[in-house]
Amino acid sequence: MADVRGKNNYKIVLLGEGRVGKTSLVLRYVNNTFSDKQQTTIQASFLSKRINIGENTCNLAIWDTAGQERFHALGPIYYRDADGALLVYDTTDTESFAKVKNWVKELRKMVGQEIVLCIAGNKIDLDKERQVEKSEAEEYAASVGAYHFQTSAKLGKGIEETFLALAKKMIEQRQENDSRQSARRSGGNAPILVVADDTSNGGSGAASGSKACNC
Amino acid sequence: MIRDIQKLRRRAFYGGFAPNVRREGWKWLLGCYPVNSTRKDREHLLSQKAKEYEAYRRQWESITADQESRFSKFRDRRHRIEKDVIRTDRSIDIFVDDNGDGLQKLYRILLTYSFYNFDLSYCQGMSDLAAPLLVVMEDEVEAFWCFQKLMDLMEPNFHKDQNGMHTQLQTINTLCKDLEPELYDHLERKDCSNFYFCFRWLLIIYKREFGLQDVFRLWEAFWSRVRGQDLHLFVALAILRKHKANIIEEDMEFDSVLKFVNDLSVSPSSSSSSSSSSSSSSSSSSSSSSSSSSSFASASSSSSSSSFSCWPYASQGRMDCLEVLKDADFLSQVESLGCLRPSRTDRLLLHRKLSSE
Repeated sequence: MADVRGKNNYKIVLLGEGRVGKTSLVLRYVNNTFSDKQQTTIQASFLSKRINIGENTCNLAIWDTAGQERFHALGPIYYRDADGALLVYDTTDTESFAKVKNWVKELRKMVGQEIVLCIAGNKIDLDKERQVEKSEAEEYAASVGAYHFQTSAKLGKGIEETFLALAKKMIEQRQENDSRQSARRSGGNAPILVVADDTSNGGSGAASGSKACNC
Repeated sequence: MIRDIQKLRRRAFYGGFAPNVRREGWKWLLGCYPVNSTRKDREHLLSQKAKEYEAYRRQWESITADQESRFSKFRDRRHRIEKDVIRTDRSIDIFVDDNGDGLQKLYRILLTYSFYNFDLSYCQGMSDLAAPLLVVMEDEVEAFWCFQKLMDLMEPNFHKDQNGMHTQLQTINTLCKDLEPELYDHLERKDCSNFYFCFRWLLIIYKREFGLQDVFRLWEAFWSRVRGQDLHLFVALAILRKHKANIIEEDMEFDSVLKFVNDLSVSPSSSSSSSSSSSSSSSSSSSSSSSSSSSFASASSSSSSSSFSCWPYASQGRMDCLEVLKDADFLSQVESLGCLRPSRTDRLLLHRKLSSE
């Protein structure tokens, strides 16, 4: 699957409750625009951005999904082969933070450890209405091995940092997987195990087969 | 005065309503008025409806701020509607003004509906359905009435278990298998025969795919029921059929199909920064559309001398609404004829025959 998508192509999926600002974050990041009249997302939409990190150029394919609870079942379609997930909540809405926790659970269960997770608390421009404390969110993020950033799509704050950190981590993760795979291929002492591992992870995306091998 | 509801339905289907009759026409199509009602009956009904609306509305209007502070379910619901209303169709005249009447009405209609149908409540997509109704009706009570009727039809789309959506996607799957086997095979191979990329089309009956006038035109064709209850599914098929060459030749995967489909929309919710494959390269396979246009062409031209001559509008989107409608009509007839026959091969033969006529 990784080959199909290309060496420097990374897929990011945005997940989170409706109205937390997922679309606005992406539009600020990709087009540097903001509208408080941004229509609701009913079906996932796609944007792409090319960025340079060190000597690497990478293409980010960013999938922005519908947050409405009732469309939750559509999630797997978008995250199933994603390299990274950006889980967005609204800092003025505790419920939306609880929803992020649900997504983390679901992703870990369905996709495993290979997907890079980043959590973004959006709408920090509405600081007076804040309900989710930064420390609480950071602590949680650390406990699940995710980055945490605070953002404001309206003010254009924290967004570059968020995507950059996510991208770096995705590159790192893929390099790790690649080197592991090539190590296994070039004379690992358990070739049979490697083959079995590869097939069992087939289709789960770029980072397939990194868990079971301890060589 | 409507003497012949069937005639009205045919007019809605073939020619579309002229703007000045649409407000009444929609109420007939959506079943607000009983078929044999007199003008007096209808006036009476409307005043009843106004009282009913008022009663539901008062239920939430009477919740005080103090009470609301201990009523999180209501608070959430109200906030959700509030947040969605202010980003619904803001380019349409009546919704432009932040503090305008239009947004207020839309907000009240949706919140009142969520009290009328408490279990269903509010879900994203509903504001897309209510907004055009309000544009046409202008009056809050009439718009609510139509919304109620429309939601009677569309409620399964918004059920928590999504059964309404699944049933429709399943039907599209079957239709595609029947009518466009080549495309079907491709989608099947790419693991996208769930047709999830049609989700938005069906959820809000193409509201985001076309300009407002086109949406009016499509909706009244659907509600006319001249081609049964599934015409909107044939519209999906007609669109896919038109672009099947692109989808197959470019060997599109689910991601690319979804992106392609999104980019067909008149108002892509977020336009892609990378160049997308243009949809303008028309597929050679759609040659049948021009030959199948006779029924529509004659119908709309015959009605163009009457007050029903609101067509053609310049299409604002990448999709030609009338062409899509014609193709959908054609496909629905092929399917209905084909269904009488025993085998798929027969259907395909018929399909070809109709295409070449």
